Amino acid sequence: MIDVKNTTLEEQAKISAGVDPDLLVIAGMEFKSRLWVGTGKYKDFRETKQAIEASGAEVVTVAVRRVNITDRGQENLLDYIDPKKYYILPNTAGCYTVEDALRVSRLARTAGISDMVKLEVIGDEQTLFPDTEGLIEAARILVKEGFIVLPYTNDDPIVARKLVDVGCPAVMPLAAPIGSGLGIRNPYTLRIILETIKVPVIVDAGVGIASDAALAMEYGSDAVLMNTAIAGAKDPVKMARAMNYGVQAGRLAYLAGRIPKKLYATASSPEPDL
Amino acid sequence: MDIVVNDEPCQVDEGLLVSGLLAQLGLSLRYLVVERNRVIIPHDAFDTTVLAADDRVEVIRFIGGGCDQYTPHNSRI
Repeated sequence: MIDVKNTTLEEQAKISAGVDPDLLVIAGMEFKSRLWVGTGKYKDFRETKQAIEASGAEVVTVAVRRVNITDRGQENLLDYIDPKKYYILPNTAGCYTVEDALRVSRLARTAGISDMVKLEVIGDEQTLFPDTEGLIEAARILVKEGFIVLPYTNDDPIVARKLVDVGCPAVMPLAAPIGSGLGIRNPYTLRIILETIKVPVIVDAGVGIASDAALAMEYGSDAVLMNTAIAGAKDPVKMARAMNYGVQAGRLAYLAGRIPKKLYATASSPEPDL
Repeated sequence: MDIVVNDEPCQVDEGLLVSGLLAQLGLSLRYLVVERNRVIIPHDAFDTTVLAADDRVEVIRFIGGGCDQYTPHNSRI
């Protein structure tokens, strides 16, 4: 039985609701869902919208591009993904220099949706690995300009620490190369990041299937961001739901605390009382 | 006069405002960002900013993209 007398009103409310909201908090913003999703590579905006709904995500990333002025009939993504309903997180995908990343971040902020930016400074077209030197430099400048900088980084604990030192309120290390679907390639370095970094850690990129997302959460990641694993699935809406469950299952398992691994058996039935 | 919009040459009337250009292009103003000669024009200045000959204008908006958005080098904005 829970000792109701010794709990705060807030705790009592949680108990009576039967749920602990387990919110993720970044720069004062509270997020219920720990699955963040991208909006690229879908067949059309309708499918994008359906998959995002199925994923349960509240944070949705978008890219910043030129309007095609010769094709005026284009629909607007934000007519489908309502910025009043979702946190829109513009990214600097496609930026290979600090200067480009700064420019795209400033353009995105001017649209008036958010001060958040998912900062990417890409080092190479083949791997799409981050240029971590440029990333730290761009992050330092944007933080000073008042941006909430969420950096897409390598699974490198030292770079993650430097990003926190320049003022990033969360870090987003990759699981594997963007779009590769390989899952967590360096579980031990990811775990070092999770142990040493005191701000939220969001695993970003490289997830392939729901168990990859669950594993990231079981290690203690605060959230997972993905795009291709959902958009590229045969049935994106179904995969979005699977990822939603995977992230929730992994988070619950992390909070529940796993049993230690042992070499020998431990009987799970009581000893016979004979 | 001649200006360039997103790398496309455009012929427009003298004294055209940024808001007028966007209207001619049939673009809704929502969530659009405009750069003129690499300087961002704030939304509240669309109705007061007069374009000049040879201006280079960039009209930018949000599209689908994620961590996984592969973008070839030459197609970036």
